[in-house]
This record gives sequence, C-alpha cells and structure tokens, in this order.
Amino acid sequence: MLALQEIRRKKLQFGLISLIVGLVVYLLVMISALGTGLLSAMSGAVNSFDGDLVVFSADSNDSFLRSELTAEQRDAIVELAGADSTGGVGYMAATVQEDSASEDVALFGFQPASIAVPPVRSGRALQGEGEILIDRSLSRSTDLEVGDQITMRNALIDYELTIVGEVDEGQFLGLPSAYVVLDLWREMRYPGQAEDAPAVSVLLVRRDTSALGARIEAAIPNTSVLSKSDAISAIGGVTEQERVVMAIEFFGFVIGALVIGSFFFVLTMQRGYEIAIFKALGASSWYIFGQLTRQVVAVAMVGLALGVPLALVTDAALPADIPLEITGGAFLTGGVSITIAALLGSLLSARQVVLVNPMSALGQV
Amino acid sequence: MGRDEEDLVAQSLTKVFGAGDTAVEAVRDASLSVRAGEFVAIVGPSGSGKTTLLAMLGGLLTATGGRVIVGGTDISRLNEAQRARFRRERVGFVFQGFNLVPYLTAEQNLLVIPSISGKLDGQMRARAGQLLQELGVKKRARHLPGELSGGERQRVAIGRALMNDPLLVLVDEPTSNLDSERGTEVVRSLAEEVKLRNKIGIMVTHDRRMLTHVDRILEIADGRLHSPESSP
Ligand SMILES: Nc1ncnc2c1ncn2[C@@H]1O[C@H](COP(=O)(O)OP(=O)(O)O)[C@@H](O)[C@H]1O
Ligand SMILES: [Mg+2]
Repeated sequence: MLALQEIRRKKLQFGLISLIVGLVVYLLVMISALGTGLLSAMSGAVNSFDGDLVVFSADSNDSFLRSELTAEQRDAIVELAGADSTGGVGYMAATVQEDSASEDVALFGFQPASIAVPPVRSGRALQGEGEILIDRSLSRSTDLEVGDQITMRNALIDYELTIVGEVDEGQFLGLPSAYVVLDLWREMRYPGQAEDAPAVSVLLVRRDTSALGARIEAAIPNTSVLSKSDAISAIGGVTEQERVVMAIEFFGFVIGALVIGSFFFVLTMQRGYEIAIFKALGASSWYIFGQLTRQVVAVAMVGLALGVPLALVTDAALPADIPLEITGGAFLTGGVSITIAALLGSLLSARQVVLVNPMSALGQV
Repeated sequence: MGRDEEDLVAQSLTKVFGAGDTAVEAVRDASLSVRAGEFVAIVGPSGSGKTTLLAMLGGLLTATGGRVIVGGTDISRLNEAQRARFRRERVGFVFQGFNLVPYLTAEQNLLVIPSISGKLDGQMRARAGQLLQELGVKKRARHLPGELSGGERQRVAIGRALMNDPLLVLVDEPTSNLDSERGTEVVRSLAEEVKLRNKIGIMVTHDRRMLTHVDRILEIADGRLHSPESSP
C-alpha cells in the first residue's frame, strides 16, 4: 500500500518506466509469436497429424521428403501396432493451377479410413481420386475455394481435381498443405511404377504401449521411429530456427532485466533519504526490499497491460502471410519473462538498500 | 515486571567519529538513568553531542564504548537487525527535522510504523486517526508534508512517534522549527503522555525556554554530561 503511494506521487517516472517495460513486453510477445508462426509454417501440418510416433525408413535420415516405406514394412508395422492405430502418409511437393495462377503446396496422400485422415472443416471428405482437400492457409492466401476445379501437373501429366473440402491442418516447409487419397499420391509420386513403388512415405502410429517404437525398430529392418515432436525437430531448419528465436528471446529478456534493473537502481540511489527514514524508524532491509519488489511487480503489470494490447493490435493490422501467431503461450512467455526479468533486475538495488545508513536521515553522516 | 525493567540505564557511553588525527569524540563517558514515567531534558549548545547521545540511547547508533539498557534489554549487544526491531517496537523518535516521508500523506506517515512491523490493519488505521485527532491535525490527514506548516509537521512527527505505543520517547530539538510558545505547548503534551502511559521520555534541546514541563534537567557540553549547578 505504501509502496504504491510512491508510484502515485511519482507518476511521470513510473509512467515512463512502465511504458518502456510495455515496449519490452511487446517485443517479447512479438518475438515469441514470430517463433510460433515460423515453427507452424515449417511443421504445422506434421503437428496436426493424429499420431504419437512417426515411422521413417532408416536410410532417409528421418526426412519426410526422402522416407519411403515398402508395402512389406508397412504391413509388418500395422501387424505390430494394430490397424486401428496406424495410418500411412505420402508426401510430395506439388503445384496447384487454376486458370493462369499457380501455387506451390505440400501435398499429402493419406490412407483412407485410418488415423491419417485429416478432419474436414467445411465441405466434405474425399470420396475418390478426382478430389482434393485444401488447407485454410491456401484458401486464405488465394481465391481458391470449395467447389473449384484445379489442375495439378506432375511429371508432364495433368490431374484435374475438384476441391471438395477445407481442412485446418497448417503448413509444411512454408507451403500450405493439400490432401489427396494415398493411391492418387502414389500415382503422382511414382508415375508408371505401379507395383514396385514404395507404399507410403511414413507411417503414423498411435502409441499404446511404451516400448512400441523400439519394438518396431527391432522387428522391422530399415525403420526409424521418432516421436512426433522429434519428427518435427528433424525437419530441416526447424532446430536452427528455434535456436535463433530463443537467442533473440533471451536477449530481449536480458535487455528487459537491465532496463528495469537500472531504473530501480537509480531510483533507489535517489531515494536514499526516504529509505534512511524507514530504516531509522526500524524497518528492516527486507521490508524495504519487499516494498521495492511490489513496485517492480506493479510496473511489470502495467507494462503487460500496455504491451499485450499493442501486440494484439499489431497482429490484427499485419497482413495474413506474415507468419505471426499470437498464442496464449506468447503472452505467457512475455508476461512471465518480464516479471522474472523485473525481479532479477531489482536485485541490482538490493545492495544499495542494505548500504543505506539510517543515521543519514538525521543528516548526521 | 520489576520497576527497573522499565527503566533506561546508560553507562559510560562514548562515541568517537573517525580515527587518528581527525577523530571527533562527540560523546564522552556519559552515564544517566531515567525511570519510566519520567520526562528528562538534556540541554546543551549546538555541537555538544545531543543528537549523537540520543541516537545511541534509541539504538540508532552503536556506541564506541559503554552500554545502554532499556526495559531490561542491553541494546549495545544487539546486532543491526535486532536494533532495527528494537526501534520499531520500543522506541518513538521525534527527529529534529521531523523527517516525514515526503510522498506519503500525514496519515500514511503514521501508518508507516505498523506497516514496517507487518501490523497494518483497521485497528492501526483507527489509532492513527485518533492520534491525529488528539494532536489537532485530523483535518490535515490527507495532506502531504510539503503542504503542512512547520507546527503541523511536528505534530504529525509526534503522532508517528507514538503509533507503536513505545516505551522510550526520544525528542530532538522540539522547537527548532517553531516559535517558543508552540514549542512549550508541544513539550507539555509530550510530558503528559509520558506520565500518563508510564513511558521513558528524553528530550534534547539547546533552548532553555523548553524546560518548564520537565521532571529533571541534565546538561551536556563538549560531549560530557552533568547535572546542572543550579536548578532553572
Ligand atoms: N557522523 C559524524 N561524523 C563525524 N562527526 C560527527 C558525526 N556526527 C556528529 N559529529 C560531530 O559530533 C559532534 C556532536 O554532534 P551532534 O551530536 O550532532 O551535536 P548536537 O546535536 O548537540 O548539535 C559535533 O562536533 C559533530 O560535528
Ligand atoms: Mg543535534
């Protein structure tokens, strides 16, 4: 209560520092949102897979682009894990054309009636090979919509497809995802090799026993089983990208801590007289530091109250193709780290507080 | 509790500031004892060591030599944290410059005392209002020190000194900011408070006109304390 009185009487000083803290919060939220946005642009479609494990071929270096599982491998895995808990997925890059416009997509083929089937948001599910589902990110960035006819050209063969539904699965490697049935994918990916072609790129497995991954690897030659999150980290560039974002977040955190810390350090030096009065009256250094901490928390809260709406406004104002995803996590990261930064920063003043001599209140030092 | 439990006893108090050639012996070999319910004045010229002595009696300054026992506690043996606790629980200071916290209102300055003891509650708020009322500054409760006259500030400072119902009331130069008539008035009310609540009251001053309501007078000169040759 007394700590907040000081804030009331020193509105300008505390207002300015709260504004600066608000900007640091804003920065931290935006960095975190950008990190989430980049990550989901790289791997959102994989993250949306309904499965806990991803089985790659061992020689693919756990890459969706290179992994190929044969029909025998697939059948053996299905036998081990159960048909209800598996789903085959094929991947390839493809180009969707409508009139003169063309758009690159990450094309997934999925095994019908398996856990690989993506849930449809609008329109209907696939019923055959002449149909395609597109991700919301594609319908947002182009004027493609449910009902449109598109052409997909691959290996000089044109496939005429109808968009029958829209999904919300996200992007992969920066491209919006699109979904066809596994047979069509196989035809496009391995034209003219009907019988000998690999069956799927990867197999999704819902984990029901803990050692299933190891059992698959042990029992079936040339397989590599990763958890979904490891499979995401294995996507080229994802780990590097996450490290860069984390480094920027760390610098934002350190700068926040230093800014707040310096402010309270200077403030503590300036109010040596007031602190001396409190001490002369018998206040412990703990008490004074506790008051300081309340002020720090108050400043952090006001900073949050300024920075968070600012981030929301920015998000609304920015065009959709900037990979910015403000989540509750972004606010949590911004809020928690600024509060921790503020408290760490205030430790700079702890020594200052202890050193104040109560006799200086009497002008006797 | 025995009578002496409530007394103040100082034995051979000495305070030396600095060391070597620049050492200043602000207080030398000062001994005194004050009973509860007694209001004692220590009078002496400026620079004679009054504030230094008062600060040692109140546990604000550690003595270079000698000891102080207040209410049975030897405060010369306390560490810094213990002395802080002693001050907030048992001592009421009225400093020479009043030393009110500038960003707190009159009422909040009184509430500093329970706040630093972690006892700020409705009862303490009521007590603060009561004290401001008794001291005639209730109307000024919501004003900042900068908006108060010297006399009002002093009364707020006295209210603050009484907030914790201290055993020991220490007053430094009550009149330096006031005309003597108001000063005498303040001394009288403090003397009454000390009698009524059986406190130990010690006032230091250079102004002999303030000595009308005190029980006993000691003199200090060059850091040496002695009884006056003749009563005032
Ligand atoms: N912190 C200090 N360092 C050095 N000398 C001091 C200090 N405090 C007080 N003194 C000296 O001690 C003497 C007594 O001071 P003080 O107790 O303030 O006297 P009074 O209150 O009677 O005016 C003075 O000579 C003063 O200069
Ligand atoms: Mg003095």
